[in-house]
Amino acid sequence: MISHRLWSHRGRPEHVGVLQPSQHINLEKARALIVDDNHQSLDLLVGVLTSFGLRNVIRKESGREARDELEFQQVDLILANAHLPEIDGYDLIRWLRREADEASRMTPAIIVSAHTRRSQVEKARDCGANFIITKPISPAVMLERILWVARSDRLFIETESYVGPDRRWRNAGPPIEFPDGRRRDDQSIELSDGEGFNMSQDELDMLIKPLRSLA
Amino acid sequence: MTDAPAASQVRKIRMRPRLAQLMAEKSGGMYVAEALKRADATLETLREPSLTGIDELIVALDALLAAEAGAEPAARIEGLYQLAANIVGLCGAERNVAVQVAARSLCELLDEADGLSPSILAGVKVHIASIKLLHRAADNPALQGPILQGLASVLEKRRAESKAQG
Repeated sequence: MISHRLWSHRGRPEHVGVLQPSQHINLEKARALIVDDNHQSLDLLVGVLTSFGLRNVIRKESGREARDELEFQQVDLILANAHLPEIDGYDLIRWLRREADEASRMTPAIIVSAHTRRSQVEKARDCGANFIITKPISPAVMLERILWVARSDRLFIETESYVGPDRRWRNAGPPIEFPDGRRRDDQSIELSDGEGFNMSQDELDMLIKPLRSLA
Repeated sequence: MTDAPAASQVRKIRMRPRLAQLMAEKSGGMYVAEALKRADATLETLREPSLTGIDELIVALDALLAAEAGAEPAARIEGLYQLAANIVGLCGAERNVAVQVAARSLCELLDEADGLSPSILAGVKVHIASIKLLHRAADNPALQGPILQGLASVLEKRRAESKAQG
C-alpha cells in the first residue's frame, strides 16, 4: 500500500489516505460534469480527473448551466463547487436528487468547497451529495472518493426531508471491497494482552445498568 | 385532540452506479500508482498559474478593502469572502500550508461578521498582510507559527466580542 502526499507540501509529507497502488481503475468511458465558477479551480479539477484517465469531461461555470446540461445528458459523475452563481452546488444536487430525470437522480455527486459557511452546514448535510471534499484538492483524496462512490454498496434513501445516499452508512461497517476491510481512521487491529483480573458477571451487569438517582 | 402526523414514507434503493461497471472494465485504464503520478505531474504544470492567480486575488482583496466606505458593507463582505475562498482553492500550489490556514481564517472572520466594523476591518487587514507574507514563501514553521497564532487570536478576540454583544 502507498500513502500519498498532498500536492503542496513536498518537504513535509502529509499522509492523506491509503490506496492500493496495484488497484486498476478505468475511467476512459465515464462521462463527468465538472462545475466551478472559478476558471483556475475548474482547470485544477479537470486536470486531476483527466490524469486519472477520464476523457469525457463537460465543464460548466454556473449551477444553471449544469442543470440545463443534466436535463438532457446523463453523466456518470458530478463534481460541483459549493459556491456557484444563481444556483449553488448544494441546490444543484438537491434538484438532481428530487427533480431530475429518473436515470440521473442517483448519479454519484461530490461537492468541493473551500469553506462552508455556518449558515450552510445543514444545507450541505441535507443536499444529497455522496461526499463533500475540502479545497485545495488533493489527487489522493479525490481518487479515493471516486473509488468509494463508484463501488460502495450504499443505499439510496428517499424521504420527505432527504433524498440521497444513506448518511448513516458509516455505522454499517467498512465497505466490503475496501482494502483489508478497514478505514484509515479505524482503531488499530493490534490488540494488547489483557491486563488485571477478569470482571465478574455481576460487575459487568452493574456497568450497563441504568444508574438510579439517590435523591 | 389533533391527529398524529402520518409516518413519513422511507424508500430504500440499492445503488449500483454505472460508474462502477465502467471502472471495472479491464481493457484500458491504469493503476492507482500511475494515476496519482500523472495527477501530481499535471498539478506541477499548474503550480505557477495558480500562484499567479493568488497574486491577482491578493490585489483584488486590497482593492476591495480600499473601496469607498460608502459602498454596501454586505456586498463588500461577500466580495472579500469569495476572494479569500478562491485563495483557499488555489493554495495547494503553495509550498507551505500556512496560506491555506490564513485564507480559511479570513473566510471564518468574514462569515461571522455582521458588518464592517472597525475591529472587523482591522482583522481583515491583518489577515491580508499575513497572506502576503506567507504567499510564495518556503515552508518555515518557525516563521509561520507566530503569524498563524496571531490570526487565531484575532478570530478568538472577535468571537469573544461578538459573544459579549449577545
